[in-house]
Amino acid sequence: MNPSRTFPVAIESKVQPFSLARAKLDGVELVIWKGSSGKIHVWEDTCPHRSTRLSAGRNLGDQLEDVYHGWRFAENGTLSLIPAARKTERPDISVRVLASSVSGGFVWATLNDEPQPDPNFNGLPLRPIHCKAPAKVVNARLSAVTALNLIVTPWSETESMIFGVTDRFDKAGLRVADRQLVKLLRNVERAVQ
Amino acid sequence: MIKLYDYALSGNCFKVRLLLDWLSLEYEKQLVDFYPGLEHRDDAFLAINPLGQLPVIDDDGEIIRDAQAILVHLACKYDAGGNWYPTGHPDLPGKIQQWLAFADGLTGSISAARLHDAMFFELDVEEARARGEQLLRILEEHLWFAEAEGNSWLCTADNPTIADIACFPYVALAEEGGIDMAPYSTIHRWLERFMRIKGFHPMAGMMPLPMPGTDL
Repeated sequence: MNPSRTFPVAIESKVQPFSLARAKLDGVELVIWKGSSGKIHVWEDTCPHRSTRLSAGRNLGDQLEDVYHGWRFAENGTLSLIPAARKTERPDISVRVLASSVSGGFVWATLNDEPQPDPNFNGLPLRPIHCKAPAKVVNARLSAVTALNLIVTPWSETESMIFGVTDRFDKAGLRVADRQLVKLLRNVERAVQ
Repeated sequence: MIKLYDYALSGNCFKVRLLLDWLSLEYEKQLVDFYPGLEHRDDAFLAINPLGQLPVIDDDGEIIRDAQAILVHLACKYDAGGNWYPTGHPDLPGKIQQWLAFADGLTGSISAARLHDAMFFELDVEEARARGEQLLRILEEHLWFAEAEGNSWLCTADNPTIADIACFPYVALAEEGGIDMAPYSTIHRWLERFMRIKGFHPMAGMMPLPMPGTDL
């Protein structure tokens, strides 16, 4: 089904310039950002210097700056500036860059080499909903929902993010679908607690 | 002259300082050592606010307590443009009031968790975090559908109101209370918009720096 374990991690239109978004994938925390080049990057949310969250820093456009000691990383993930050591030679260091691509209005990522987005997953995006239950459990409970096209992204061993698309609803219908999905997912959470 | 009974690390004091600055009001600070001094429990402070809570303002002899009430007072009295608390629009005050009450809920949950983690207050932190997460889920849903309607703010399309000011601090500080903010991407965008309001300065503990895209 999904041998590359490629999952949606963000809605493309919600990843804005000069902004940083967060997500998780299979236990790895992610920072997602759009560079000046227009490309969206998915990196592990950890600065290789002191392991602070990169998402607490700044998207400067062509670089991402860590909040702690101001280390900067270029769009390809390589270290581009150490403010405290401008005169010495920069070490050859890079953040962990995930393989990612944009398809059907979503940002997809994988911890493996080659992203393989689901070509059938497109339409009007539903609100992504967080659920404190493992993806396997959520998937089992969602199999009964046939009116919505859903993908459960495994965030961690205990968390999932549920992405969905539809082409069947107007605004009011979207709200109803959201409510029903929330109700179902809260029941899943109660069941695993 | 307005006097603010203030504590630097209080999110509720911070929201009042924000509005005072945005309204360009001159004020003096009376520092109250909340932690570790616990001065808010001293007789001298209880004489000013018997509830023992910060902030309080003394506006020319008028004593007003409760952060949300102070925001209403300042906006009604000093915001000539009526942007921060637009009472002229019949639908807005009720909506704004709803989020002022919500902000009080954030104080009772997220702020409590933060007092436990950062200042060693004794309370049921798991319960406080759980209530905080419930509120964050409500806020996330509200902001998602607000965005879909073209509304950048809690109650309005273009100009933030005191509802946004009231809810901002403890949402922005939630990770100091041990709450993982990764699940709330819509809230994150609202926080970023808020920090881009001209003249915004973060308080201690707010990791995000001034954002490029406006002042840089």
